Amino acid sequence: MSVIIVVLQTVVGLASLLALWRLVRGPHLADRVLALDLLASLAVGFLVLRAAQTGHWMYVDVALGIGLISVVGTVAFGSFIEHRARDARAEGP
Amino acid sequence: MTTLAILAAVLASVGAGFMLIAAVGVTIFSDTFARLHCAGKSATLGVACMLLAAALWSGDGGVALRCSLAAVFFLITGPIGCHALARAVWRTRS
Repeated sequence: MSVIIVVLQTVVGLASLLALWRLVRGPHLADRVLALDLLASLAVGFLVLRAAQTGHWMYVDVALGIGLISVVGTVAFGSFIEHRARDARAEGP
Repeated sequence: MTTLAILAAVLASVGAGFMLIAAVGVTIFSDTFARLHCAGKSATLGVACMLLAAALWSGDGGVALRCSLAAVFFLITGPIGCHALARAVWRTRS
């Protein structure tokens, strides 16, 4: 069982590296926000695996907190991108 | 290894696979909308699968209930976040 968990943690870590690459590259601001959202999801998965590995199930509560904050942040960033473009259009060139 | 543990291991493997697919798609796709499409669905399903696996793994009623509720929460809020981002990109496209 513990071998399976370690293998899955490696997979999640590899996925985090790929998401981090998009966070650094991403041409559009939305790409970076999307990569951050994905990183938060991967952190939730990693913490759940860690909870199963150590038997400390309060890690699940930490994962739930990270998920809550990441959702609010993503929606706020979407609204920010929209309003920023609208303000720039209202001010004119 | 009990049947429940095997089922949990399979669920966790499926979740990790979906997360890896989401990360690979976010890395290699060429368009912002394609990347949103990829991450919005597979990452959500991956997290939900992993939390359900933890619910099966724990063998404790309270933890299992919390994990299941967290899975439902992620299934609801994941697409909402991606929809907000996609709407912002669509409305501000040049």
